[in-house]
Amino acid sequence: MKKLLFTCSLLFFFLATSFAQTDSTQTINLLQDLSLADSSQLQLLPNKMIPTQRLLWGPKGLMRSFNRFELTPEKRQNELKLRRTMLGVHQILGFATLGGMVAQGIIGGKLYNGRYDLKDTHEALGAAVNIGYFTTASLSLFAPPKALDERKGYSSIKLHKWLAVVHMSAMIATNVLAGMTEDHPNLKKYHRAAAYTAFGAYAASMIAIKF
Amino acid sequence: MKNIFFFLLLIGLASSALAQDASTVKVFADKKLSSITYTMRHPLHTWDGTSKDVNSVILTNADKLQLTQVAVSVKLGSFDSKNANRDSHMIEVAEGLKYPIISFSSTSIQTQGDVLLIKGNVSFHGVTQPINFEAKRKMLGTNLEVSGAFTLKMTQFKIEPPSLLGVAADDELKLKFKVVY
Repeated sequence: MKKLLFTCSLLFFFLATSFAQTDSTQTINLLQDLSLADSSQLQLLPNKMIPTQRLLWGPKGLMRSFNRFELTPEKRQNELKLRRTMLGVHQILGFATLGGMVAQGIIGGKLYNGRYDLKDTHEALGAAVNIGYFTTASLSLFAPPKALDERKGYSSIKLHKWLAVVHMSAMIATNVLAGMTEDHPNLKKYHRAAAYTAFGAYAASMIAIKF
Repeated sequence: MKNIFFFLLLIGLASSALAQDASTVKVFADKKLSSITYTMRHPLHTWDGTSKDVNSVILTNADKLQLTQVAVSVKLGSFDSKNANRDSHMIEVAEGLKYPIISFSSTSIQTQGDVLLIKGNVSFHGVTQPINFEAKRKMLGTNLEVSGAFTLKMTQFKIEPPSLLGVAADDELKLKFKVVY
């Protein structure tokens, strides 16, 4: 009888304790359930990239032939840091270039109104603004791509990019027209209009980031 | 012999009292109805990022009135602030390609009417920190809605707040959630 009682109580003990899961075990199991329920893959690159980024950083981009830039989560994480550094310099250089554009606007306006002694200064400043502008643009165009696809709908960064198309076109037009004004002085007003368009769109693209 | 018998009986009774009720059920969240939103502040602007890809599961009784455990996991990349550059920046600072998941698991849930006092651990950026917060529970037909808010500090999880134009955003990350089971 004693033996039977002992066996029954032993059986009861093991059954009861096996059902009594601890809280932490249950929670770990729940988290495991969640990870099993989610089978989606980690996205390393956005599906859409601008051509300059795809050329360098796409799945078969030129940079992918270097060990340092193989397409792995750890290396892509380092790429995002490089992207941040490049965009940080893009912001600083962008502000410096805006300052140069303001100065150029003042000097260009005086030159347009007959102060021909400022022509050399205008040209030198124009070269500096161009170096600043196209370096700033390159830092954005050739930076590693972001981690995600573009979001749906309007965003301040989309406005920044649309305005970039406007100011880059206007900058190219300003430079082309500047070279033509020597032989065709009647083009000066178009050169000035293109320069003002470039400045306006450029300043607006910087303000857009605030929102 | 008698002593051993009573000892085993006692342990058995205690364990069975603690044991998971046979009527306890596991219920997964309805992703279509659930969301988590963070709010961040920068001197230039304040923005929200929302994830509608919330994975969560609870242990509850059949009528969903008694919650015993909850676990939540959400992908960092699923937060949409309507600005892909900003979302990518968050992934960069929180190393979202290395640690893609933010998870929460409860350690205790106390029910006081429709208020739940939840204690648990948040794992973010490979760092786990204890947290406690209040949540509200509401029955919507046969569905259970749990909503609430809490605040995390990014530096507690060894994350440097993102910066814009050289100025860092606030360390505080305010999170609001609504999960429907």
